[in-house]
Amino acid sequence: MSPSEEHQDATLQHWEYVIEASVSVLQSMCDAAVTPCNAKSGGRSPDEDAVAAVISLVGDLEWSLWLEFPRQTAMGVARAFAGIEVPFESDEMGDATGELLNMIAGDVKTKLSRHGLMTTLSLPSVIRGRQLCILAQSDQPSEQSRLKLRWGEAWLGVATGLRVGDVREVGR
Amino acid sequence: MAESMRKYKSLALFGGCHLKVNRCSDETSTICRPRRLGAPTRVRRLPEVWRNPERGRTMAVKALVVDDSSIMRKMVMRTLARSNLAEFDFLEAKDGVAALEVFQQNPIDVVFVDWNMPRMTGIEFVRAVRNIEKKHTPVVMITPEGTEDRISEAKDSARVDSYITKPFSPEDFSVGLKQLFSKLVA
Repeated sequence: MSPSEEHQDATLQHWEYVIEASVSVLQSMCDAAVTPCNAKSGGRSPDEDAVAAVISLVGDLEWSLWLEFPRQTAMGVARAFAGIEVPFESDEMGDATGELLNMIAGDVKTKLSRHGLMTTLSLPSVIRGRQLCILAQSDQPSEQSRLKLRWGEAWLGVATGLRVGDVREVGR
Repeated sequence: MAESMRKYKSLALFGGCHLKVNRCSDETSTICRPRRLGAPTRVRRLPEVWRNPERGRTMAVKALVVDDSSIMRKMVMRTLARSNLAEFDFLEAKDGVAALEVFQQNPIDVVFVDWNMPRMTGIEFVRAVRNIEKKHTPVVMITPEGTEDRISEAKDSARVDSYITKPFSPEDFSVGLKQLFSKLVA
């Protein structure tokens, strides 16, 4: 295995915790069956509105997690989570998305701590728009997964950052 | 003399006692109080703040709910209202700074607070409350931060009374509240 492949393997070693946490949180808070799928097997509609939240874990790992709901999925998830209709354009929609990712990240943090990997959570940031695209650096390890829910699909991902002391020059 | 005796006897009977009269003029008489048999019954009741002693019925509990997510604040309040553990009168705040202002301006009976918030975190807010409160205010921390060091920090350094991790079910919430109530009664 090359050094870069080893690095990817190590930094994303616990990616399955992100999947497990997202399934657990969405099932318990939204009473929804969740099926993880291969991200490459589904496609996003380019003109669909979407809302996404991003949160960071920093410490022994440097992860950025994101969770993206297209409009229809967001409406269904928010209604199930909050118990009331939540307009897509409202602050509460951003609230709901950010809070769900907050719970997912908290669960991931707890699981990582059992392996001695201590991290701190940031506050979630929320983005809403059309043709939303979460970018990750091409030379950094990242993973994505597609989630199937009864209201539609969602996307979940993690991008990693460089650890302190592990700096690689661009192009080398 | 007979008049004095009558007064003392009346006084003794009023206090639920009887008067034992010594006929000798140079010895004192005694008032005897009957001893109750059996240990007194311990009445376990909520602290005075939860009850109206004059009217003998439960009054509303003033609960401060602190979370930067308005949806989470609504969920907490809805779960509390449906728990039937008490009648709640809610105040809200979206971060620790706003919560501290509310706490200083209102008599608060119990606090429900998140950890990660902008401007002032939940743990910083609780520590500030502990510095200014005149008597211990029960605090329930509701947060996705479920690691052992966080729980220890909350309970040891900020004297948080109960800790509930998100996501929570209404049953988890009720169990956490019942633990808190049992601590208040004991």
